[in-house]
Parts: sequence; C-alpha cells; structure tokens
Amino acid sequence: MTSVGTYLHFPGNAEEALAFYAVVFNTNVARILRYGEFNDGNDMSGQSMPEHVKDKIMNSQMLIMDNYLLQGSDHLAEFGDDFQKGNNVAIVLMTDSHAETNRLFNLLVDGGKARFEPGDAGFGYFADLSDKFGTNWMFFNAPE
Amino acid sequence: MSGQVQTYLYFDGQAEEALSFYAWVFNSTVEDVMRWGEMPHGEGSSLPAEAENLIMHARVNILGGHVILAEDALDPSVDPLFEPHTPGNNFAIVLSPETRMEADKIYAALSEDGVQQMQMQEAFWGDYYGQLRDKFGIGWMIVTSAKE
Repeated sequence: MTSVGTYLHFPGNAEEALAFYAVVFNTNVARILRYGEFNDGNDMSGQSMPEHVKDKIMNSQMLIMDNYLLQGSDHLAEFGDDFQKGNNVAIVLMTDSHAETNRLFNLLVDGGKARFEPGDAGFGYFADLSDKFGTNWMFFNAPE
Repeated sequence: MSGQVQTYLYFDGQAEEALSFYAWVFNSTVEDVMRWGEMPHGEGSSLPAEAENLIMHARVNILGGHVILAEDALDPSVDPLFEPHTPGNNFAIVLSPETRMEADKIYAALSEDGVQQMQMQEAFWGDYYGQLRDKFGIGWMIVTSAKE
C-alpha cells in the first residue's frame, strides 16, 4: 500500500533517541538492525568495522500515532557520512485533543527546548519544540 | 492514541518554488497559501519589503495524501522566533509507492537538478530502493517491496 514516513539520522545516539520515542508514543521498536550484523561485520569495501560502530544502529523502525512509520539510523563519520543537523524540518502531529497534545508535548520536551508552549496561536491550538536529540515537533489542533 | 502525522519544511525564500515543484512531481496543487505581507507582524516590527511576498504558510498533498506544510523562515533579526536557517542531512521523507514504475517516475522527477545519492535499485534486503537530495536540500528515500 502507498505510504509516507519519516527517516531520522543521528550522530551515534540513534538507539537512545528511538527508545525515547517508543516510550513517548507508547509503541514498540519493531526492528533494530545493527551495523555489526550486516555483511559479517565488514564495511562495504570488505574491511572489518571498528568494534565501536558494530553496535550502532543501521536501521530501526516503529509505528507512531497508530500507523505512521518512523525510522532512524546512525549516520557515522566512520562510514564517510558527514552528519549535519538541520533545523529546516519538523514532524507535525495532529492529535485528537488538546489534552493529548499537552501530554505528548510534555513527554517530548523533557530535556529539550520549548519554542511555543501548547496554547492558542491565533490560527488554532499550537505547540512547537525541539527535543533533546534535535528533532523538531509541531502540534496543530482546531480550537475546542 | 490516534491522529495524523504531517511534515513541515522551512525554506530560505524558496518555499513557493519548492512547493510548486512538489506539486508538479506528485501531480497535486499548492493550497492554503498565505504570505508574510498578509500578516499583522508584531507591533513595531518592520517586515522588509522583499519578505512580503514570501510564504508564511502553504500546503501541498503528496503521495497517498500525505500533507507537506511549508514556510519561508524569516531572518532572526526580523523575527526573533526564528533561528538561523540551517539545512541538514539528518532527515528524509520516505515514500513507498505501490509499483517500481511509480518509484522510478518519482525518483526521476524529484532528483531533477538535485543529488542522486543512490539510484533506484534492488537493495540487499530485497526492496527496490533509491535515495536523493532534491534541489532545495530536502532528503527523500523511495522504497517499495513491489517486484515490478
């Protein structure tokens, strides 16, 4: 079936971040694949991977908000990946109620930064935050 | 817990061009367009003339009805609610079309003047997969388990 999801890269703390999101969204991490499990622990050129990257996340998946696929992985300098954290994207959550927005906001903002506390923003009920892993989240609800 | 998940993109003056591009790629239309000049923008603050026509909010529905919302980020000197616009590579939108033909078509359109990071191909885990960064700096992954 046709679908759209979100993929997040992390600089080495993907496991921690995705575990955090699984708690926030009360869901299970459906799959964890580690770099060391791939290609007998060798990189694409056949060289043995450094031990400290074998445990890093190659792919991890979970369903949030019922059926939205959120995936993540570690984007590592050891593999020539130049990780650059941007602020040009946010994941928008349209929840069923202001109470649910408040609840998720409070969980996600722990250790992060609130840019707009849940409240009336003129165009509706709105909230905006950057979590402790640098992922941006926004909430939109109609007035209740 | 139920609800809907959408994607919000910030641009540095190219939101209108980018959304028109996505509307073309996904055979959709840009809707709900509001410009910064239409907004009463904070008491005493002065919106530069060149920002008046920039996008404050707009929407385009892409594959499977997924909603992309977007705006042009204002310079923090104009609106301190903004941080300096910083594109990154820590985010990608994952598209899962129903056929390889549609995956090829979307890949070709989205990667126009962008960076082809991995052309559509059979990946080691069995899916048909490709990855690109479009000309506006947004990352896309296209994946389908379809065999044709």
